[in-house]
Amino acid sequence: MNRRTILIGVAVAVIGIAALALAMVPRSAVTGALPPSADVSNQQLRDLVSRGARLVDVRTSVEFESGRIEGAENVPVDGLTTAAASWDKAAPVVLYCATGARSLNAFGYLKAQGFSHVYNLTSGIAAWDGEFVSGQASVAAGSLPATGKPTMYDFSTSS
Amino acid sequence: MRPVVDRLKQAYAGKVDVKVMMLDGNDTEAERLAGIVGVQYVPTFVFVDSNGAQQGLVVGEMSEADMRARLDALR
Repeated sequence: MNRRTILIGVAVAVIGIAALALAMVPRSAVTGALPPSADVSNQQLRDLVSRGARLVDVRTSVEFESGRIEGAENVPVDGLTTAAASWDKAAPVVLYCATGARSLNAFGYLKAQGFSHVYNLTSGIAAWDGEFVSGQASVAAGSLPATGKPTMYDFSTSS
Repeated sequence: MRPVVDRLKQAYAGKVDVKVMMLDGNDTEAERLAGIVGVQYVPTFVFVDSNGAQQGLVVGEMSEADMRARLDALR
């Protein structure tokens, strides 16, 4: 066995050991451990969903049908208790609503139920800057309360 | 946007009701109405005639002139 043969053998052994070590690295170390439950930004929502998080729209079905974040399922807040009973409490769940208020309540509920990785889109779909699935649902004229006078509604936030 | 809305609220008093619905999580009625209309972005302006029929919906900032035109057209 000459010196060259020995060097090739050592190189093959090193590569083999490295490959074996990589194969044994825990998945969490490759993808990064899930962050603790918290409010999240649009980008953090995307990251979590790309890692398999369940994306839940807690608005009403009318709101959901009028438009939603791509990939979301609709579980209105009043149906969350029933729906969440069958969910894996260790799996990540990202919640959103119109402005982040209703989903914050849902966030608190799921945490109290023992869900370990729950996230709330801070400013709701109102501030969403990504893919948006537009719906076909229309709002019937007269749905807003008639005041007997022409009315302008200004839906805003203080910020 | 707020100064414009406040100014027009004064200017159209008695002719058009201007209702500011703050979606900050503290006003459940505002959240409910936003749900009815399907508000997805703020600001969203909804124009309703005296019969309660929706005559227009504008998402995003409006100029004072555009807003006045919408208000003037409401019956």
